[in-house]
Amino acid sequence: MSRKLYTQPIVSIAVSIIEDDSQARQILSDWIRRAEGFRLVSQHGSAENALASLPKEAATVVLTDINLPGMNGIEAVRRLKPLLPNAQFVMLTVYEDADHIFQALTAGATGYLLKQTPRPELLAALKQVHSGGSPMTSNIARKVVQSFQQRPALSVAADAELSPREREVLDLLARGYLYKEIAESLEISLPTVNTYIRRIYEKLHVRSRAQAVAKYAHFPLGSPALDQPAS
Amino acid sequence: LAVAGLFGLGAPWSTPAGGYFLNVWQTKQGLPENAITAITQSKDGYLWLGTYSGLVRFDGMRFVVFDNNSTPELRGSRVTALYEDEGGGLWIGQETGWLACYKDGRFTILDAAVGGKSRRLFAMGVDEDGDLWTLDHQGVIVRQKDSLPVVPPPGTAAGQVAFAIDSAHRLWVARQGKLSRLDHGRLVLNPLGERGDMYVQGICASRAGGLWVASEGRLRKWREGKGFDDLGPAPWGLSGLTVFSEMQNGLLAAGTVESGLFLDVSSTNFLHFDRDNGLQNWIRSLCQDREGNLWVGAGSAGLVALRAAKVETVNPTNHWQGHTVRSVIPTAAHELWIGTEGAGIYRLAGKDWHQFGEEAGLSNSFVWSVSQDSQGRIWAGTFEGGVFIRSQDRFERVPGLEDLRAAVTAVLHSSNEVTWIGTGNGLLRYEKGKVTAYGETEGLIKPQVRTIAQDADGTVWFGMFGGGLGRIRDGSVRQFLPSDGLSSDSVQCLKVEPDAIWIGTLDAGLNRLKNGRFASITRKNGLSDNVICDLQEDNTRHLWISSHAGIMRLSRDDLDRCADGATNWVPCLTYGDGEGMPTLECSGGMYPAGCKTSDGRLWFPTSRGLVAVDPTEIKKNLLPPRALIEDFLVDGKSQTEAGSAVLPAGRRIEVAPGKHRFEFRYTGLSFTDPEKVQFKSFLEGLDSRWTEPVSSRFVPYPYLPPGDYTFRVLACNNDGIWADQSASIGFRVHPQLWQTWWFRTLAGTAGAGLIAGSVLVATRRRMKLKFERLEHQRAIERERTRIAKDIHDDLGASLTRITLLSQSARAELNDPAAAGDLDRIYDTARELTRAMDEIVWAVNPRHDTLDSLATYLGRFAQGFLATADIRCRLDVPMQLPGWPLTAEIRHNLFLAFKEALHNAVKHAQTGEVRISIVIDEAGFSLRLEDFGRGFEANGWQRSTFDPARPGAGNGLANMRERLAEIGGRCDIKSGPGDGTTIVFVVPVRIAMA
Repeated sequence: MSRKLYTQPIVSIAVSIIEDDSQARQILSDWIRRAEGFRLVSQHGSAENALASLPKEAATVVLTDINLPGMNGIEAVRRLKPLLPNAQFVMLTVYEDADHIFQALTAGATGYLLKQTPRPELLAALKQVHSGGSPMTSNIARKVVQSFQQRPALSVAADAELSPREREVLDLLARGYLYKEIAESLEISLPTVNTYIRRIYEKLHVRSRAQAVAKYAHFPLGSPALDQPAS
Repeated sequence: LAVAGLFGLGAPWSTPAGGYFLNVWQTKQGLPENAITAITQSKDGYLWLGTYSGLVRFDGMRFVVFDNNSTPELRGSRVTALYEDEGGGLWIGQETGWLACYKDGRFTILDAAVGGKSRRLFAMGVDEDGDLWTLDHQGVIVRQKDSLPVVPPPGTAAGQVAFAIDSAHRLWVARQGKLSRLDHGRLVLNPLGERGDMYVQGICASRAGGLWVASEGRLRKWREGKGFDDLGPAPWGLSGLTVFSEMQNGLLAAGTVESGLFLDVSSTNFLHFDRDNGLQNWIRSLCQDREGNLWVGAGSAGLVALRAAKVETVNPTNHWQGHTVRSVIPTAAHELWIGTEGAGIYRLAGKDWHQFGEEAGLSNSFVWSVSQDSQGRIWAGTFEGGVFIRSQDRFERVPGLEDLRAAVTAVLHSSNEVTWIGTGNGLLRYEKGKVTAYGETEGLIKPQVRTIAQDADGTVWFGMFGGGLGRIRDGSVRQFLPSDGLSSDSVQCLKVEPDAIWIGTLDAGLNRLKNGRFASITRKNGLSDNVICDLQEDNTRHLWISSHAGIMRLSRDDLDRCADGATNWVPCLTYGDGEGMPTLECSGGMYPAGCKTSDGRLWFPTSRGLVAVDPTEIKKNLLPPRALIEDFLVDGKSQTEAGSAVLPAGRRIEVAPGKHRFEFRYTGLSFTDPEKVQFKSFLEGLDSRWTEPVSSRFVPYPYLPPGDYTFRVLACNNDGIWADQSASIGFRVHPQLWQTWWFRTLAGTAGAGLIAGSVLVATRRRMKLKFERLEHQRAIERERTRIAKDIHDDLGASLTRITLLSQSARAELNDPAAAGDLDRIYDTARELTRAMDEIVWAVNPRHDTLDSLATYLGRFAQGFLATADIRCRLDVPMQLPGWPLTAEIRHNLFLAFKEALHNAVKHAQTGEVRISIVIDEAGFSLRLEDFGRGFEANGWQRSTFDPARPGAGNGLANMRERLAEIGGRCDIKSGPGDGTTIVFVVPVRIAMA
């Protein structure tokens, strides 16, 4: 048994970084480069550059700053996700601004990390995302619920609606339950909770694409009218 | 329309055909279905579409669907025909024979069945007597007012029906290929004096009078009293036509079932669109809007717009293998040489393409720079693969530069056999195998060269990423950086003139260097973008600037005036989606990133192909769009009348007192490039002038004092042409009881004058203050947004750097004392970031809502309690009222809440804290229960020091103070062993202040 494990190939996580601050980018790149089980495939100083070259690169996890000059990280994910359907996008942000993070998640991201996150935690979080983990906090869950409650102006395929079980998981999250508490209370396993959340993310992406037109018309979706998209 | 061609030849590369380009909308963009059965533009400017899933209204951005569910009065959803009468009534013909009429926002329904038999409606029309007729797919035509059926004699082409209304309002029907006409309701056979068995494929009216007739494979024009003109064979052969109409340019458009659309059909020419160039073969419907855009329903392709492009896209058959185009140069032999990011080099000669890749000797296929030297040889600079010269059909390394492996981003050949080569780490001067380098060792800072230019004196100028602008004059090097006045340290392109240099930057617009001084022109001055990729001048003193927002056209004189400081605004015409740009993102950061050919056309590489503009053909869209107010929401409730899709016209809307959220939703009906449509609005009664132009299609107002208002909105089209006429809506906000005159009178006569008077004065003063505050509010909000952004962007980035650096340094350190210090630096920076986060949140007006407060408090509590290993339970309604909360309220509430949480963690000894928000008519309350050990609640007021809870009294007093400060209340309930419940009560009156 141990022998078998030993001979299994070591999966290395191919990471690409998009960050405009060259020092921050350098440090993050070094962290990834030196970490076991990780491989740095590229680093980009702007969304535009990333858009041009990422599709050629085999990144499985893309770590991107939200606040980039020119095209921002959210738009970058919106454009890159269809080109790299198998890659996971993790947003890097200085502040935990729920609106921005939520926008990034609808654009196609599956997680976010604060820039001040210590190195071991950052690497652990990337590993988790890579292996199917889907982090979601209660305030994001709240926004997701609100967004799904909004009757879409446009027809959205039925498979982009939440299943009752997914809805339960979301509700518990919004009420402050942690993943393991959800697992206990719904009598499901922790990986199952993760699977539900990832599926919720995918449905969020589908809906967001379907509602792109309404979004471009600047009609607010699932938010009070005053809550305009940030410039 | 000129069939575009390069150097006079045909244009196999331009898609789809002849200078037209396609835009497609499908279900994923909001259409209920991809098969469009009918299209028409109504007089108010909307585009109406018929589908089997309902009637659809389109304003260029948004589809609004009227179907069986949303509009039961339609009686069905399968729309097969549309027609607007002179009076503005839109007639909707359905497959089931129901005929609906939409007018002024309301639908009425008629039955077009005859003898109880339903008819599949094919077309409608009003005749010379003003009577409405319906035509079904059998070719039977029925007068609606008396259900009088007329059955024209059929021809032999089963299933084929054609219909036309001529300029004299006579109705024409071709039933199964045989033509008839209705004169005042009477059937006229062989109306053109034609042979009785003539096979008619299609008919349409001509604006100049008469009728276009497609018959027996030929195109003919018939005029009253003059008979037929035969214009020769028709390109569609013997196919029956599904659509046939005369366009604004007098030419014809014809669609078929199985061979696509024929456009610009005249006796000598036509264009053809079918499955091979992006359309589908079955043309179901067609309409030309007033701006000249063609709208086509084809097969299940969705809604297709065909527009005349001002930008021609030139692609080889393999479409650059999907890669970005980087660089382009023309040669004297009328060839174009094009470098790409991943597909090598292409040569376009006439219409012949040739591709050169690694097999031709290039070290890689990432060609950033192509050039031609004085001997006519082509040079290619590759990304990290060196530089090559073409010899025959091979590319070979340049003698003397065999070992060069840096990114070659720019190559410029001087007249004196000197070649300048820009690389990722400096500039090289190359002369007959001899190389001189200008890099960091020669004193240049960040010499990542991206562009090179030379002026008449032989001075060489070069732009760098990070290193600004460089100059080599008489062998000595000078570098210009932002400290010298340059607006950015990254320069992408240069245009050298005798007395000035124009500098395009990566991120900060255009600079002009003249007489040793830099002047910058950016988006603030009217540019569409600050990313300047390339600069080309046409023959009429206009600069064409490629950017990441399309191609801008600016007058040289305007630019000079702006750079001189005489003006601060440059009129800018931008070619984007509406002009046929395949993408808005042009290529920049290498040289040459654009060129001019001898025919005067300008060429720019983009991420989606090579584009060309003809600067002599500037056609502006001169039709200003009509603005329409679609909805007015008061506290989220639409003010359209029941059963109507529009706001009541010509009548003031009455708004009950106490409403505090107003929102206007409007649209501007221009279809050429709807995303470029902009709006100005003006709320008479509140605003003192029109707002700045915005593209957003709604505007919210937080609170409006009682009074009469008129909201006005104006729209401009994609070329900035504003309409004269605004759309407007009048409404009255009614006052609260105490704001009415009769309250004042009543109060006076009741002898309570003194009290009422003082209430009145206070109220009035408050209202006045409120009003003034509102006027300032917008300006303040802008300022707050700016501050929040500055804190976020600048401080945030620096703090991040500190945390990252201290962590990195920590990992490499063995000295425990120093490591401890680094840990403290790290912790301090994190703490500071957290504090900044709070400030950003408090300052940004985007968060002035209860929902944002709830989200923020929830997140904070969860993080705070998690570190103390206490369960956190949130009970917050999913939908909260849209009360605006000022920064002051949010800030004080947050601090009080923090205090309460802190107390719970420190003193309660609990495993769970529950946080809830409760809404009632009075306002909202924020409640925090800790289920912990509690304390003697009555004691706290007397004693500021509780031995069991040091500092607790102080904390509780703080909370009360904070709540009092914002006009709220803090209730505390606790007893030993009972846990503690703290409730912050915030009345709505305060929440709305």
